[in-house]
Amino acid sequence: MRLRLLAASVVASLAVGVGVVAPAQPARAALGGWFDIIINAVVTIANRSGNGSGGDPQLEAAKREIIAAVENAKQEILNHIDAIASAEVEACTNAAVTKFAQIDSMPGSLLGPFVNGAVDCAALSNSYFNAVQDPAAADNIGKLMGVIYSIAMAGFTKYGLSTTGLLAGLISGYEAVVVKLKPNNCDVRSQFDPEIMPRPKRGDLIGWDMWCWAYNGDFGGYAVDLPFPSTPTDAHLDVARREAGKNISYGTALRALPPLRAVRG
Amino acid sequence: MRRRILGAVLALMLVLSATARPAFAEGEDTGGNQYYQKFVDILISLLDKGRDGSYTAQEIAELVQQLIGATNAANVDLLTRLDNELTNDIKGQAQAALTKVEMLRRPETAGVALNSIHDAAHRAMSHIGTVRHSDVALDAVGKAMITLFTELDTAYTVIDADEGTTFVVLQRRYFRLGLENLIREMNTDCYHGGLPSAGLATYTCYYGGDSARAEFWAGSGTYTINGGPPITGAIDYRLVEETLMRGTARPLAQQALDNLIRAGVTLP
Repeated sequence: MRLRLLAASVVASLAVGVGVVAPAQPARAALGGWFDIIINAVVTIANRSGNGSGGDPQLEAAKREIIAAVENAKQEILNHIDAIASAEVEACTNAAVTKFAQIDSMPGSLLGPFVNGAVDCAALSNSYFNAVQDPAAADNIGKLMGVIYSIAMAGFTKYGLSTTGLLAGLISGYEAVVVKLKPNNCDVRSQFDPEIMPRPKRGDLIGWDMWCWAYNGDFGGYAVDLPFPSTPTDAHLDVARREAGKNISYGTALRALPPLRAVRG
Repeated sequence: MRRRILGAVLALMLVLSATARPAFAEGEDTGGNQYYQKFVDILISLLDKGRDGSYTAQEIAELVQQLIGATNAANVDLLTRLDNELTNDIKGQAQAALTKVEMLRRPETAGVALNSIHDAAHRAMSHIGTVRHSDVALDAVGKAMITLFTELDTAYTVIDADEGTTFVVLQRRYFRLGLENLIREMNTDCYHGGLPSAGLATYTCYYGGDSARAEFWAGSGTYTINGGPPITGAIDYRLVEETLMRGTARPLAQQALDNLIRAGVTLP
């Protein structure tokens, strides 16, 4: 069986050739390397938090990595925050991101409310994502979810608290992202042409092309040869979906979920 | 020696009565009550341990630890139950409150977490009226309310022990009020039927799309519930309703309410 990933340009010409109306959009920038740094740090925190002993150097390092990543990507994060349609979620994420750099110098009277607010904001972003109908608005909050939860988790490490509940919230949030923003606008075509090709026999390889579009117009294609009479399954389409959704929070969530689920156990 | 044996028997009886659970048949939908029963157990433990008017630091640490374990176990089930149009309003607040259970480990964080746990618990209570026409939503809200009020009760206990206050006394009255409201709204629809000329009498109850049906056969003098083993005598209507409702919040609410009343908690 031959598997190949269609080049985007091939799929584009194919799409035009078969009359599918879905102009290729210039892909938006995916979340940068800072996102992977945050997820790695979240995994470390989830793994080591809650043992009650202060001064764990790995926890401390993970917290610092999150602070540095948020600071380095601050403008990109603030741009996403600006685009949040809910004033409540926009305000709480803005507060969390802009205060976060000072977390280590906050006195107890500020730290407690800050951590409390970050947890509220994480849950709020989660329920806002579920409630919002517009996919662009959902995508925006989907991209910020990891940042918001990582701030709350870093706050918990300041008190030596376990992040089990926060981790569960982040995983359920990303699971909702995968469902809601899945590129489900897909097309599947067989390369078999009855006019020029003999009738296939059982086991003959038939080529299939499939392509999917994300809500923002980004698309991904995939081609596979399957022994007749097999036809493409949802798993085959998922390859095209993954390609189509790599620059929206669908891709972000798919990237984050395996390590997060692994640490949850 | 005899006294020691008697003591051991009494202790065993206490343990057995404290851990008695409604029996669920294999494959029966428990409605997640294996998770929510733990919150009622914690409430009972809170009432028991506080009977002498105070808690030791050790007792509080144990209660918080039990609560964290129960919350982490119930978290996914509860949020999934609240994930529908009628209950989405309280889901976000409930999620935040459940996540903050960890913050009860320390008085300084328990203090800041308490306000949102309080708001989430009271919001669940006031939501009973909003969803009372939907059995499924009402059950979910009931389970949320029992969970959140137990968390709130623990949070106030932590604060009271630290500050020398007795805030928990007042808040328990609202817990009782919420439980009474919930029990009043969780009603089954039951009907008598059968074919008397053939010696068959039936009693069928419905709740949230589920049903329990008792069939009494005059010839045998026994009845069955949902095709279970025969029970001698006339149909016990209460048993049919209890069978139907044992996966819902109602038996838990009743158990929690009985214990609050026994502990002298009045209405607000």
